[in-house]
Amino acid sequence: MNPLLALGLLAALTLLNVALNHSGVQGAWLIPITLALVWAKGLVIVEHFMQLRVAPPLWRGLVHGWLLLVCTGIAVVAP
Amino acid sequence: MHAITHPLPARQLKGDLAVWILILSELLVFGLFFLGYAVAARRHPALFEAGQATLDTGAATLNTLALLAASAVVVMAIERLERQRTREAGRLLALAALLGSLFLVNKALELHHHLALGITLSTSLFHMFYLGLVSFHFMHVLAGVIVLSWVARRCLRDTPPELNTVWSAGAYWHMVDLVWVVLFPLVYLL
Amino acid sequence: MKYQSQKVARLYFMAAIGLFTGQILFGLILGLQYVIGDFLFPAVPFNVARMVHTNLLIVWLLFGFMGAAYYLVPEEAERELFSPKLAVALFWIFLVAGALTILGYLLVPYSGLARLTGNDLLPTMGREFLEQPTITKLGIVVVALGFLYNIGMTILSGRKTVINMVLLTGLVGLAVLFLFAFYNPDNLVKDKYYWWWVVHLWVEGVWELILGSILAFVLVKVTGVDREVIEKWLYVIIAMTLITGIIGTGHHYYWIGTPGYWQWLGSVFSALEPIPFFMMTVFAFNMINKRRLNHPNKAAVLWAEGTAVMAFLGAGVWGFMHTLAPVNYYTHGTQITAAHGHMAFYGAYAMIVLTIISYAWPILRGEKAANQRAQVLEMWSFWLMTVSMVFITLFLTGAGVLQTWLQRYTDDPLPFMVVQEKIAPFYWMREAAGVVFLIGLLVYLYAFVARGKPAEDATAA
Repeated sequence: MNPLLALGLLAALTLLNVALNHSGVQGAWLIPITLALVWAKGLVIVEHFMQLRVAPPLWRGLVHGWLLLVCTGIAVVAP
Repeated sequence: MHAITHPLPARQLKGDLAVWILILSELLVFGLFFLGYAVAARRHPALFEAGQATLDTGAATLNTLALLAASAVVVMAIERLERQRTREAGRLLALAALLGSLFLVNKALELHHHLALGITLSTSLFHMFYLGLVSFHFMHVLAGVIVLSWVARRCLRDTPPELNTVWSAGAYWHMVDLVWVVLFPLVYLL
Repeated sequence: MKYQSQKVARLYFMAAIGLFTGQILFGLILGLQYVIGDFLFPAVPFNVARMVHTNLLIVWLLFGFMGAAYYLVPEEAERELFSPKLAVALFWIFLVAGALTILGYLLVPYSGLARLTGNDLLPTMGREFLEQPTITKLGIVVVALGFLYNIGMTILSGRKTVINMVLLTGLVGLAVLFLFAFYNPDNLVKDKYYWWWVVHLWVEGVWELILGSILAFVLVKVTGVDREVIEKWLYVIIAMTLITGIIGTGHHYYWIGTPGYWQWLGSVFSALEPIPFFMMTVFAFNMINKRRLNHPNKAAVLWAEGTAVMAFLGAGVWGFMHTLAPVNYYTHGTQITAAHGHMAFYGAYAMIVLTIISYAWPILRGEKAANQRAQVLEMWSFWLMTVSMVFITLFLTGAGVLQTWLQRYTDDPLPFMVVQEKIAPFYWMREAAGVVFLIGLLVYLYAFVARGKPAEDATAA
């Protein structure tokens, strides 16, 4: 992915997340959605910025595992 | 026949093994901290909600964009460097360091604001986490900016470090970015 | 040996091994006193034996570090030592001061020793591991300053390598942090707070830098791997050591009157303290696998590998076991701590000193490696000491788990002494493992005899 395109995507996801959390909407789905967006941003960074898409599966798995663990962990623990 | 002798590009970790182990360790440190924050926030919802209300989300959003932009620019710089366009890469890396510095200034102002109000680690559990996480991440951005500036300088002088070193520097910077991408919504939004 | 002045290291190594032997003997006395309470009483009471055991450990390790520095700094800096005479003079000052202090512990009641040495002028005595009379502490500062001056001048006017700079940073840190041994606030919380700045920031901070640089030096020499590769690892390891170790001090600040946030900070950061040790293991084995030469000193390679593994197990894994605040709530100050202490000190610091001695000693005698027989003996001693230390650790862990359960965790906890009776079988087994350790040490000492006449003397004659 072109880095500028990736940046545009990341910026859009960030603003979407801020807007979502400041629009005053409430609901049980808000936290999972927020973290899903975080996860999507993380994917772009891990795959395209850190270049892990060309890395050995072990390293790719480790970093993706971290991202997934942190996102789901927060989603589960957060009230 | 020539084509056959060229093997497929092997899967490769871009950067030094030692640096990648460092990156993984840092991710672990932050990961534990994040989960700790989430657990604490669940146990003291009112305290964390009140604390969060005192934070400036606008400034933090701007900071997020600065870090993301710096990361994208680092990727562009490395692409240039891989094609031996060293000076161009140097200028882009300098831009990335500048964006990183923007983050630092903005964050320093935010921290100053809180510290001037007399807030310390002992003020409350929320403030311990907020100040702890934010200042720990701040130190990492600072380290990243120093590394990027050093690589930029070398490139601008046309004596770039080895490509592997630049990859390592880039990967470290992206790690700092990745961590912030989780930290920001956790501390400022949720 | 490239530089004549490296020879002063021999003195330091000899003293280190001598004091090590003393430490082990007192360890055996101490271990027996756990089960036969009045053994050697009143000549050597338990508290005195313990003080001698731990103080000898610290002093012999310091001798070992200094010897290592005197050996490797000239070689790295590519010049003779700034002043070999100063190194010899400081050696005798340190040895005499150390010996007098130990004799003072053994011959004079501790309170009498305090009076004798004028402790009331500047009270610093009475704190665990820092029991030395104030005058000894001042002597340590003088020796440390002279040592740093000597080493610093050598490094600054010679080739500056990463190994040398990391070693110097570690040694300066060691000296600076020791100054907190003179700060003795009346407030008990503050007292403990700063006491850990010496104890924790030594063994989980600056000493790790010393360990890392000595290990890197030996690996450069025995593997022939590019210095740049090894230096990069060293950088990353010390970065991680400092990131986790400094704030990790917090794992000593649970419920001692310090702010509550230390339970979080201490738990998170110290939980990651195994990482630099794990990196050291990966580093050592990675370098040895990539080796470009087969160094004839197989024993030194074995010690280096052993250090990397045992430091991770002892400091990393056994430290992690009781570092989280909710766990430490129950295990604090039990035999779990003793288990961790034994394997961590042996695996990280005793073994790194034995590694550098193993590597440097033959070279100081003018040969590349000891003869086959001496090396085989040395490797036997490695296995005897290391395996028995593993067992000492396991038995103490067993004792600690049982103690935590009976005395702290169960619904109707038993009194301390009743529990001590119940865990006595573990203490007996630990003592037996200790005897094997002593046998290993004797084999180690015999391996020096088995080296025969130094090659150098032979050519001189």
